[in-house]
Amino acid sequence: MHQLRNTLPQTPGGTAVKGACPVRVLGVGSPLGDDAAGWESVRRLQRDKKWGSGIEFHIVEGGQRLLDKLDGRGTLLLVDAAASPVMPGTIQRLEGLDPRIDTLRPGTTHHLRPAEALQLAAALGLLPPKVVIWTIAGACFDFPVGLSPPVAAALPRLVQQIIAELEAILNEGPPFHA
Amino acid sequence: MPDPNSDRSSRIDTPPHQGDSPERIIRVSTLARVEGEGALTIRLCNDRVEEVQLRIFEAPRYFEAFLRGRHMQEVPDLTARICGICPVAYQMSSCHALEQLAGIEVSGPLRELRRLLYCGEWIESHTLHIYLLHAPDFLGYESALAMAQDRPEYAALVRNGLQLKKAGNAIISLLGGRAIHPINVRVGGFYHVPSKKELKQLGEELKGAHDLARQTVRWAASLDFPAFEHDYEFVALRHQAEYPMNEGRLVSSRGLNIAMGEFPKHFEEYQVPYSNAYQCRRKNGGAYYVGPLARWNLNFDRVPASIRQVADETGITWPCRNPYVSIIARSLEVLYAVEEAIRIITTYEMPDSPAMPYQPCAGQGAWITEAPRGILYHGYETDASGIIRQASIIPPTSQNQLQMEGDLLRIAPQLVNLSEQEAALRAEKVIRNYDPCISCATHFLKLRVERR
Repeated sequence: MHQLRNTLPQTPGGTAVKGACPVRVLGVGSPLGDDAAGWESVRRLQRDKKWGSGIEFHIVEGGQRLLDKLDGRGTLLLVDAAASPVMPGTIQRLEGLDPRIDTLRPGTTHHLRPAEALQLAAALGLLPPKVVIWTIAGACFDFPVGLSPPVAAALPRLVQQIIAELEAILNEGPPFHA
Repeated sequence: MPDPNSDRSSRIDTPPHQGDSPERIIRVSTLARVEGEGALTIRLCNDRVEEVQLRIFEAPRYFEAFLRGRHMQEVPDLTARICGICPVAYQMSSCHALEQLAGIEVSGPLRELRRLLYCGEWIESHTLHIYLLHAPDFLGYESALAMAQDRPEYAALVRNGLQLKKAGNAIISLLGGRAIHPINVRVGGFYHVPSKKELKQLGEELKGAHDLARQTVRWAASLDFPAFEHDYEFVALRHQAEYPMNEGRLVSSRGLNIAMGEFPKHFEEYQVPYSNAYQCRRKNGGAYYVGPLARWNLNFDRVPASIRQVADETGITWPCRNPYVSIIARSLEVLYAVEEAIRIITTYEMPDSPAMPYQPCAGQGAWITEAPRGILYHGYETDASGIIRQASIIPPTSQNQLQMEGDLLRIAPQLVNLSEQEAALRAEKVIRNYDPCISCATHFLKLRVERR
């Protein structure tokens, strides 16, 4: 029961940022296998470092919920597992609507895939000016709950790379104006 | 199993004609713009429709089985996991059924808060279907993305739809504890109730939603609807005073009028070999129709006069028997839900306690509430310590399946002379009128083990 009620915890940084150029970090996925890599990354990002104002963290299931979090402002940093033929645990950094976003896992059979949501956001003027997508190639996207060994081994490296990128963005200040 | 990495656009898989064989099969191997995974086969012989099969191949999920052995207080959190779009409906039907079993009745501000939560779900679910799933069918596009990319006015339309949907998200986030799979609902009420100040802030967020909801009705009424009517048996709850959500008698357009607990006497589930979901029918064998169009047709006299006027301005004569017009019924329900939410927020008084106490006990309870897609039946049996011994859950999509197949049979003669692509699209449009939630419909599959 604890797992049911807490698989989508209210993230401490999840309150809306009022400023003109918020930095939003979104983990996309589900609790199943390596599909949880995006969620787990966001949990660790919050656990491993104390972040100041101007940044919010969210855990979302699919493209529809991703779309709900976008308003055309600031920076979007998205973390998701990828279903691609490369070695499980491989980390990739993409920018904007790179065609490789098609490999992002949907998280749910309901509604939009993350790639569709990002494309729709762009068509609606809701995509932030700066979009960075970190992916980690998964091995298994089904039961049991829990990451596969190669993805679990690579996750700390992914989190460190994202922390470095977020620090650079936050220190840079306002170039990512809406 | 479908390829989990596949995109969600339709897959049309039509075998070539075999020589002079009179048989032709139209097959959509993955339905697009529906919740979950399903497929469709129409078999024609000498241009005559032989068979229609709506196949739901999404894996069975056994919810009824794994509810057994759990305590009744856990049920709303478990059933919320059945659907990411309508979790509130599952929580409401299970809470009411278990409260009936325990002999308590939630009233006053707690009853109002439940209704407010349901308003949030109707707004969210209906708006999503209207703008992202259904609108492309009427405007001639493959998807909402194609619509938005093609014309700026359609991009503005979808943007407004998403804005309206956020009003529903805000209600569910506040009352449910989070936007998806709410965790704040329990048998007897809530774990935490909002203050008047919190609801007042929510009311501010809903102000813009009212205009957007009215615009949605006007836009939906401007669409062209195919001439397609049938004498359906519409089935919905009907309350003595209000538009039905959590309470009422079960009525139909053919004179059925029963207490909701009598549902199993008049309706039955049965299996078909080609689908992982049960189908439902009246015990006299007939298909029936649940959902916004059924609800509106049977209850439009239960909304405020201002909304009835908006409904009259659509130019539709109610009751309406054209399933394509369900998009207008859905939009009228969004308008009603926004107004009802504002009314509840304005008159809210914080209850003394977030929940009514109850004693777990042995018994049986059954209830129906109106999920966005139609009536949702829950029945439970518990032992003396409140442990679930038996559970029965009948979602609206299961109930509409036979009706969807009926509509497909009726439209199939029009598909004979169309290209495969066009025929498949026309058939999919028929299904999308019902906004089916296939994930909801696959909770159950009787598992039979044969041993030698």
